Amino acid sequence: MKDRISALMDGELDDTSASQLIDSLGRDGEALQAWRTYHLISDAMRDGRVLSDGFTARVASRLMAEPALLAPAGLQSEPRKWFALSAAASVAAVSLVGWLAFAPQREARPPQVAQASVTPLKKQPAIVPLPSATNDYLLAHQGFSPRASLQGMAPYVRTVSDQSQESTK
Amino acid sequence: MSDREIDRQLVARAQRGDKRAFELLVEKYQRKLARLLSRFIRDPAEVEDVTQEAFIKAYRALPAFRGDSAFYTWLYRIGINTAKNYLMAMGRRAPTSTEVEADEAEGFEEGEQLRDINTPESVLLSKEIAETVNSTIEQLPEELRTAIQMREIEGMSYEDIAKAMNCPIGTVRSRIFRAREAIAEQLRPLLGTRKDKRW
Amino acid sequence: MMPGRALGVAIVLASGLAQAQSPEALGWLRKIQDATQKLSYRGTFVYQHGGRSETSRITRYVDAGGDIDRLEVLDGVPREIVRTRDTIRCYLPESRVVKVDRRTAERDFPALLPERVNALARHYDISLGETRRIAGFDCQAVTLAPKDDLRYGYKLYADVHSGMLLKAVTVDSGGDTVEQFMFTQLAIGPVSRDMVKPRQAARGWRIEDSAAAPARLAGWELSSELPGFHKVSELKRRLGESRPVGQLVYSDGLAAVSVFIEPLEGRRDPVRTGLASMGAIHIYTREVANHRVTVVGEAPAVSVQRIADAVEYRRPH
Repeated sequence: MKDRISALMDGELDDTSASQLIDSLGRDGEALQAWRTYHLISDAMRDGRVLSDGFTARVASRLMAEPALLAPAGLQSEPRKWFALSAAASVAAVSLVGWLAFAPQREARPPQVAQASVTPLKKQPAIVPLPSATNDYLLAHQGFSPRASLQGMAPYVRTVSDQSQESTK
Repeated sequence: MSDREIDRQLVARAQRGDKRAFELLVEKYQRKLARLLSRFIRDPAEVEDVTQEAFIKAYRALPAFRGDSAFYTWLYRIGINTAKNYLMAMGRRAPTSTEVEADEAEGFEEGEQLRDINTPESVLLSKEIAETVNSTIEQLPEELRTAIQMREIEGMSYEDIAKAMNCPIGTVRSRIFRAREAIAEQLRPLLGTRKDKRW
Repeated sequence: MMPGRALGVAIVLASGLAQAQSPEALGWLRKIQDATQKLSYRGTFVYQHGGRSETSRITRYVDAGGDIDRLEVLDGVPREIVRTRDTIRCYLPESRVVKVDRRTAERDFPALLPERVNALARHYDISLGETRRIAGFDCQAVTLAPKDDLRYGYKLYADVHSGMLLKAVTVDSGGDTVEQFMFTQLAIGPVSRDMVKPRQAARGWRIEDSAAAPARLAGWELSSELPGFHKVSELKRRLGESRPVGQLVYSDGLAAVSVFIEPLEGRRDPVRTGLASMGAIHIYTREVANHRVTVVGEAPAVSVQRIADAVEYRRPH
């Protein structure tokens, strides 16, 4: 049972077993415990942040005080409709709400350029997409990398993975 | 069954009156939401209060949730609005705003951990639990450790882990489960003092 | 006098070791090199960068008659690479192409010869770190902390018995991992020749031969060299089906940067000046004297750009 919770949360359980398991999640204490603990472990591994003990319990007792939901216009029974919304439309929906946002912590590419170096650069470089011949450059370059004397052929794995121009040449 | 579909089913049950189904979602997303809100609110106790408030608001708004976006995306927006209102009520200025990437809200996480330089260390409220998890992992038999790290930190599917570890998918599933159970065993004394007997 | 950041990296990387450049640490590097050359093995490793992982199977067959390596990448574009003493063949089943690269003379285990290990110490602080278990092997950590921001740092983990490298991490000046190779399964020991035969029959496939040959690229040079990076190769070759291009290779003994020079006449695609990145590799493109200059290297962007900006052409008389 607990191993199915483990697989469920990784998205690796088949639909039938998953539905049955979700059904029973409300009733089986052991399953609930596993759901709780495994998610806690996952969060602790990813960034080590943990809320104080009893957070869920406090929310649960507040929920007890809430009136029961009447959901006449709930989810459509046809789950496929979810994916009809295009990515562009989702972004538009987000901005319409006009909600508080913040400067996203996007990884600056490349990080090194903005930092102080031995001799400062004259200018910041323009960021461009990888050239179409990148894989050919990489293949030609790897043969000269001294890494080969430490790692053998392993560095040759480095290529751009979605390369469609191979077939157009 | 995908993560999104799991959430959809739990939401559907909650909308039909199953409060426990909603609690399962709380269990799943509380830390992620708290981490988000801690970008605006520095005090850890306040972060918890606002996170709790956000979940209650979400619960009340559930009948209006039509499933056009993922549950977490929707929860995320409610969380941000709750934080904003809280800061205004406290007379504090909210941080400057720019458009948030939709895929941040969709829970897109790069395997490479981005340094979240705005989040204060004080949000680490229960260091002991985090440390226990990580030290247990270090002591796990290697194949269990590798499997769970590939799953949780690298975000790899069972199929990809099976390829990387050159073993059947069933073995990957078993290793990850055994790793989780080993860690859960170490956490038991830390979590066992919960007053909440419903769980 | 170490720039502040490099010092930080040195502290981050050199965990708990009193003195850098210990002969012991250098000895480990030689041991790793030795193992790479002398051992037969087969295993599975994962290459990670930017949140992506790719799994590959690698096999090495060592024989007096000539070593053979085979790499089969299981993710992304299907590809298989087989290296013999003289040639590297890259099989691309989806496009039915074999890219063939014949080795030029100086390319037998390039650049990092045993005597050059000492030379590395000029640009890297080399020290020993902790021991840990990887893929069933007890490994010794060896760190190479760069002395400036022009190169990456490395943390290598080698089997304490054989010296085989199990894991290699490339670290930037902020201490963040930019790429990582790690074996998840490894068997060291004799390998049959059969195991390094290419899977692909490649019958009827198009062959793209690089026709690489040493050459003097007259007129082309760097106005200023990047500290520590010396020219190690100069050749003419073909890239894919394009016209011949020139290639200059610079290296500090551990990292390498290639400068590709392609004539522009008649080509329709314009030169987009700028920087592109992929994990630890940066690619900087610019136009010089009616040629496209592309600099490709496993070095920080600042280094790749500086080399690119230094490329100049002086018409030979």
